[in-house]
Amino acid sequence: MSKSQKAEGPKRPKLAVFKFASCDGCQLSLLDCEDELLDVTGAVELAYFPEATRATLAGPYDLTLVEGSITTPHDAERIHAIRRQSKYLVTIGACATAGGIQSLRNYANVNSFIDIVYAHPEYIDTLRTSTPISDHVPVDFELNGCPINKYQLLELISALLNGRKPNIVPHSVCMECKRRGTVCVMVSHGVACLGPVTHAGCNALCPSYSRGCFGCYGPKETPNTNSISARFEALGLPPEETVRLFRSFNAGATEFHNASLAAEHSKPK
Amino acid sequence: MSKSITLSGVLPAAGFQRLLDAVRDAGFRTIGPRARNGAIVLDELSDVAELPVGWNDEQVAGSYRAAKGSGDRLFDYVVGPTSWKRFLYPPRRELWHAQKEGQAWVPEAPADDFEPTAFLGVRNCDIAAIRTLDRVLLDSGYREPVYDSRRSKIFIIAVSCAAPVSTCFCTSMGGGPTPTDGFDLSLVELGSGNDHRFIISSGSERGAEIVSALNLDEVVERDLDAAATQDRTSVEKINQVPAMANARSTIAATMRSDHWDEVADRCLSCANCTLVCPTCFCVDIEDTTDLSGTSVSRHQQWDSCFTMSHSYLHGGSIRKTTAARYRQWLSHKLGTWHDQFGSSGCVGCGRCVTWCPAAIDIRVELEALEESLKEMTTEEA
Repeated sequence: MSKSQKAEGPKRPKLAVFKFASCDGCQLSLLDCEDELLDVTGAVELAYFPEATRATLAGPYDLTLVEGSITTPHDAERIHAIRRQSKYLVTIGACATAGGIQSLRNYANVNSFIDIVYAHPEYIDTLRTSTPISDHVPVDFELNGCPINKYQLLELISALLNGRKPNIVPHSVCMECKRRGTVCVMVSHGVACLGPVTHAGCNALCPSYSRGCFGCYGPKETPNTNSISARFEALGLPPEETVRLFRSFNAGATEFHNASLAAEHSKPK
Repeated sequence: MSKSITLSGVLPAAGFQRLLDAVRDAGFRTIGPRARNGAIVLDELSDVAELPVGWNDEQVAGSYRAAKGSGDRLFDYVVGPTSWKRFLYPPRRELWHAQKEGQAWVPEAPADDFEPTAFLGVRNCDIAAIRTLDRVLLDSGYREPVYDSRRSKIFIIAVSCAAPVSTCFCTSMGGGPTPTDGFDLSLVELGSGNDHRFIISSGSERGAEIVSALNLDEVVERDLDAAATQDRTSVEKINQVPAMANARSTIAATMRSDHWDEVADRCLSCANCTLVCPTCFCVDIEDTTDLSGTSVSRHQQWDSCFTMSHSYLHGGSIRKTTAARYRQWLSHKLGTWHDQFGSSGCVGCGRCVTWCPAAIDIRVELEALEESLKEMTTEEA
């Protein structure tokens, strides 16, 4: 079925994948769709996807996936050009959606890192902060995760192709734990877990291995970070550990950012 | 109540496997308590050694600890995170799918492959929960087909509670530690070591039939006395919540109380309470397509009134604040459930208390609402 569709060529929507400051893991999850990859290429035309093919087509693009955060003046310009070429622009992953792990630079002086890392810091032209794509251009949909869940990516593409709402919901990770029957690690073992304030999407991977949630998918809808921080404290977690929990892949997400600052200020002197 | 309860006899604990085998021979697989990841969950088992022998649990708001002790008793713990709802009303299932063939859509509903199943170790609060779900899913004008079909395939082996925990409050919801009806068989575990035994009662013909092959010992005075003492001791351990008696009117009169905002400061809106609740029945419907648009499917999965999407109407959610969502849950569970289904939606199992990551206790919140009602009344006067 999909092969015959591929032959129809011109009717397929054009898909582009652009990379900013990121590790490539999220766009590789598209290639990781092994069983579904032929269906994907049957349904969309890979117009710009350097990780997959050297062949590139000029815009405009029907669906543009953007990976990575904005960390350089050049990228801050480039994203506007991409937006102008894109009918739908969807960010994929924690970097593009929240600034990524590199948004830790937002809590320090980036020049101090540059001096340590590079032999010739004078060649480096970088911004003081790492920011999500939505800080720069309007975004049509955001896929959370570090990395994203490939099934959510497929669901998103299917939804756009079929003109329906994607089944990607912003409720807690707890709902995924409960549906799959994972025993709550926080209640049964006292493990600090960000699940109650974190966006679902990973099918509660870490708790199923008896680990607390690391918050890879960023804040859920209406997250109560004050309450979870108070609970962590009651469980005996030092405030600096709470700071670290909130300050990882989604350190730049507003709610986690505020929670990390609050925990930092609650540090005993 | 029409079914009569018959005292069938006494089974020495050493012969417990014979009961499991008899249930299997009658055509049922068995689901019962199993120790897993430091908790007692419900799952399939066929051997007595798979039960949490010697395990005990401690439960308070927001904390659950279970561990193997030195004893040999099979049921000295209470309900864990799983409820029987998981098996009767599964967390996610496909309702139907359709395939496009030419210009036509060919729909197909998958068959439910649920086998006849014995539920082993069902506590009295969970019998009440199943009865509550019956009223919702079978007796209120619509019969939920999968629940209906599965419900007719289960064989209930109840057990009396001998080790209630601090989160138990069944006696405030009309229940108690010892099941009185709603089962096929009911067990009272007595003694330990050489004196370890079970009084078995049957509550149905098929229950009586299964135990008739077990050559049970006769129940003697000593057994009945021990059972009565154990029941009394358990009742004394179970927390009484006087506020529950007036829950319906208290909540109806405190819809504008400031206390809802106070709870919302702590509530994570994570939905754990509703998903561990053995009677919460809200589901979401999810429609999906494949990439080519030639195959579609519809799934039903557990939802919760704590999500924004649960109250989403055209234009947005109508319960945007956590206060509104917590109020919705509590007022339905303890209040308007009466109007809708003729009973409370709460059976006093305490799961929502134990498994709340923020340690919110429904009993304490109800008492606080009762207090706020007194204050509101005083202010008016």
